[in-house]
Amino acid sequence: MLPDEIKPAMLGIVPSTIVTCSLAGVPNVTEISQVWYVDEDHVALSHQFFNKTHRNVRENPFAAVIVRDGRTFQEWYLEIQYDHSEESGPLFDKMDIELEAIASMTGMSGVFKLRAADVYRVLSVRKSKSRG
Amino acid sequence: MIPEKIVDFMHGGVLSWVGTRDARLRPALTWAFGVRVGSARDEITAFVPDVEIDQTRSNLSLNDLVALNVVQPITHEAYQFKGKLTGMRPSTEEEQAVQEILRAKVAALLIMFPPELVTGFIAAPSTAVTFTVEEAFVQTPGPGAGRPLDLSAGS
Repeated sequence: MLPDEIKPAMLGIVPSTIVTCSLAGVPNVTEISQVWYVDEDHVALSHQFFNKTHRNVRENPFAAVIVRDGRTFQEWYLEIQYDHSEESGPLFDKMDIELEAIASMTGMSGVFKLRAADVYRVLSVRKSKSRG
Repeated sequence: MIPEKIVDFMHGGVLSWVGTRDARLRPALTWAFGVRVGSARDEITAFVPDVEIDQTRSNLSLNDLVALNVVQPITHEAYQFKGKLTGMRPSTEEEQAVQEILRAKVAALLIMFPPELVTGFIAAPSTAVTFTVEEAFVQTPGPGAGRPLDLSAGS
């Protein structure tokens, strides 16, 4: 489902934005440092803190994210569904290293400890219409 | 009442995203280009470009719950506001002028990027989405993200 063209928007050059929704129906929007490409049907988000996003997807697995290519500002809209978490293994190790790299470049080294790689199934993907 | 210094922040060079959800609790996200805080500091109007408003409009016709995240693109200082919709209408010419001022502010902030990347977004026509603020949170990335803002204080 995910085209190769989207991969530059998943390099963490610029942050992404995510919305989740609690079981009570309240939406929650926040920035996240990166959405990782796993395979053409899955992406991964970092679980660093026990925050509202984390709590929401455990009670309602649906989320939507906007990722953006830091070179062109092309945005992509994704609908995703939480699938599982990985607390070790190749995906976790890759995300842990890249997260620390992002943190070190923003003066926040050591702040972003990866607890798990949260893997989501991609339900839909499309380019933003905002650039014509 | 939103603190004055955060109102000033929101009227500066910031980027904004609007979150809603449908009847099945599936959330949707879109961008807003420009926000204005009402004079009583308890209401926000976000200007959502019509090219990306369809799902947001559909969701807000079913329920009135709005979340808005406002982010400074260089420092990533961010605040989230949650509340209930009070109205949707086409943005006025004056509000489109506000959007153009914002475009210039953001372009000045993102000076390291080619200007056409910043100026190339289709922001108009847009819809003014107004909601009353019931909760607000610090949303700057890091361990403090999600901390509630005190809206009872007067300044």
